Amino acid sequence: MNNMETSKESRFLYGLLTILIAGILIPVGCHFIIHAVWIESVWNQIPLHSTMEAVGAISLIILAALLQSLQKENESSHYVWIASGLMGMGLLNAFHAAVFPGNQFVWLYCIAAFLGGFFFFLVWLPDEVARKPFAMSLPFITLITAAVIGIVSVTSPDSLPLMIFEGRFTLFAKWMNVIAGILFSLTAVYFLLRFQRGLLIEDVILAVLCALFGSAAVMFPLSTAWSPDWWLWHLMRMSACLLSVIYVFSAFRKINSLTLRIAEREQARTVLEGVLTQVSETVNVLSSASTEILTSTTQIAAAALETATAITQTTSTVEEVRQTAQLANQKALNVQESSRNVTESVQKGSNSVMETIEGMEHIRQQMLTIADIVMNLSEQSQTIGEITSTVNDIADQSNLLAVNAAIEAVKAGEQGLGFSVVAQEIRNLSEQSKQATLQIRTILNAVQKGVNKAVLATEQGTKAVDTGSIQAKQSGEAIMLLSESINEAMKATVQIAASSQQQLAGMDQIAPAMESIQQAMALNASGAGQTQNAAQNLHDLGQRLKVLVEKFQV
Amino acid sequence: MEKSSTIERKKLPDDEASVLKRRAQALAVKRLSKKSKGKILFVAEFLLGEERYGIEVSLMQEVYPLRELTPLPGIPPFILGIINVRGKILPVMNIKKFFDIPEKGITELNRVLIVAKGKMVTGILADEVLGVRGINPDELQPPMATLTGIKSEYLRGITAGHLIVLDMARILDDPDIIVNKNAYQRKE
Repeated sequence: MNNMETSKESRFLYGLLTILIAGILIPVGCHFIIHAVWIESVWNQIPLHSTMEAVGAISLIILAALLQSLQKENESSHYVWIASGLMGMGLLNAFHAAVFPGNQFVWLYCIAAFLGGFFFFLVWLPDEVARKPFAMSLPFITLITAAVIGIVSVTSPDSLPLMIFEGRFTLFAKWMNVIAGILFSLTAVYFLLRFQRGLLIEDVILAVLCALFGSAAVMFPLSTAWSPDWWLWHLMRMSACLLSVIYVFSAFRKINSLTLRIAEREQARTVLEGVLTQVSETVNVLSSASTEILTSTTQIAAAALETATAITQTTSTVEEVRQTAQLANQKALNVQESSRNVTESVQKGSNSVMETIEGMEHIRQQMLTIADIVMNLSEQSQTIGEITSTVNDIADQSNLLAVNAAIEAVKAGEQGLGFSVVAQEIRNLSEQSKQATLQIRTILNAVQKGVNKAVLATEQGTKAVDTGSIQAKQSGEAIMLLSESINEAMKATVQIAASSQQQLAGMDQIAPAMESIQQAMALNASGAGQTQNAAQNLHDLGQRLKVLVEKFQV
Repeated sequence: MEKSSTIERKKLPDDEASVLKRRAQALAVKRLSKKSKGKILFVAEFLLGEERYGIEVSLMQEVYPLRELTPLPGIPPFILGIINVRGKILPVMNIKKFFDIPEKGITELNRVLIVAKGKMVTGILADEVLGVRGINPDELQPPMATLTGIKSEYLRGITAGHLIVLDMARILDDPDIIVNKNAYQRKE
């Protein structure tokens, strides 16, 4: 702070010193030096004077134009007065440079100094006056007025007040310059005060300029035309004009830097706008994302509720499944028991079938024996038949013999009568034998038929036995297959029992697992609620941020 | 026990007695017929088809079973063939075929009655030889040709019991019975 204060004070002191030295001390010193060295000498150099005045006029007009433009851009509205003064003073000085020395010549200078001082002094007016519309166009009005004054002065020199008489300036001319000098000095004081406020180098330059103009104007009454004094204040005015050129240079530098800064700011603004656009988009995305998160969390919460109910249902289902598994286990055990019984029955059945097969074999053997016996019987009855046949033959022959004997007996006559009786008896016997053989034959036939039937019956019996034994074997095989199937079924039931046991154990494990899931789901639900709140907060935040960004953009 | 056994013994002799009585009656018929006739004609009675024929025993040599009949070609149809009777070759003739009587019923044709008259010896085919019986020639009735189908000249007659008594001597004397070429041709 102290440093800043000291630097401020030192800067002000430097500025004050510069103004005093450049604006007052040097001119006053030069004046005294000139008075001491060159007394009563005259340097009548009209072209030099004209050149100096022209250069000064151009410098002043340029400065006026610059100030006018600065006044438009900056807030420094007081420049309008300075610009007007400089404009009028510059143009009239140009006219002054253009005319030959004489009354016109002095008049144009005096009116230029007076106009400059007058307008310069107007800086003391408040800023509100300077901001009024007419003030903006004052430099141009001044320019036109100066042009009119210049043209009138040049065209009608007779209407002008008397400014120089017999080589000496008139009182009117002197007073005009004195007033102008006072006004310039007061303006210098204004800029000095302004410099004290703002510490701007322009104010110093302008103050020096005003001081130089003021000193020159004050020095006017003390000099005569073309005297060294006269050249001195001309030199001062020239210096003021050069100062104005310096000021213009510095102003342009400042403008340049300002332009650069503005360009940078523009760039920065563009970047900022881009950033803001991005921020806005991001906020939009954030807003939509938070909305989505909100809906998602709402859904998650709802889903958690559903899951909770589903878990409850699943738990009950698990219990049911557990009971079912228990039932299945019980059933499997029962089936195992019954299949064991069936296996025993099958074993018994298999044994019975084996016995049946053996019995069938026995019956077959018996049937074979019967067949053999019957065959024997048949053969024997055949033999009996043959014997009977023989007996029949014998009877037949006996019969023949008896007949022949009877014939012989008849032939023998009376002696043969007894023999004929014998023959008759024999014949009767043979008849009886024949009858007997017939009966035997009948019986034998019956026996033969019976035997044949028996043979057939035995054959059929053998076949039936064969069929029976085949069927018994098939039954045995069927029973064996049944036994195998039952064994497999038994194994299957054992496996079923084991698996249902495992299922039971698994179901017992599932029950606590379901409990854990339920707890986890409860946690999930609460977490979803928290997440919902967080998402709501995030959503609100996004909305606020959106509003902020929109404000910024407006 | 003894009483019942005596009753059975008495009964059994009764049955035997009845049988004997029947046999005696059968014999008695023969005896009656023998006694009533002064001259009894003994005939050998045989069956051929459904008819009963009788041949005089005086003409008969024996009855022989028909075995090993050998058919011969080129002989009349009434001769069946030839047989060998103890070394003698005899022809066997069918009376029905000889008399052109149509054959009826089942015939066994297992007996041959060997008849002889002089040198003429032949076998007569028979189904069965019923035996020798004596008949009264006076009781013979003249044959009815329509009934027997046999020419009356070859018949002695028919008994009341429908026994056709053949006149064998005449048959054997018949030239037709001699088998020769002419006879055969004539027969045809």
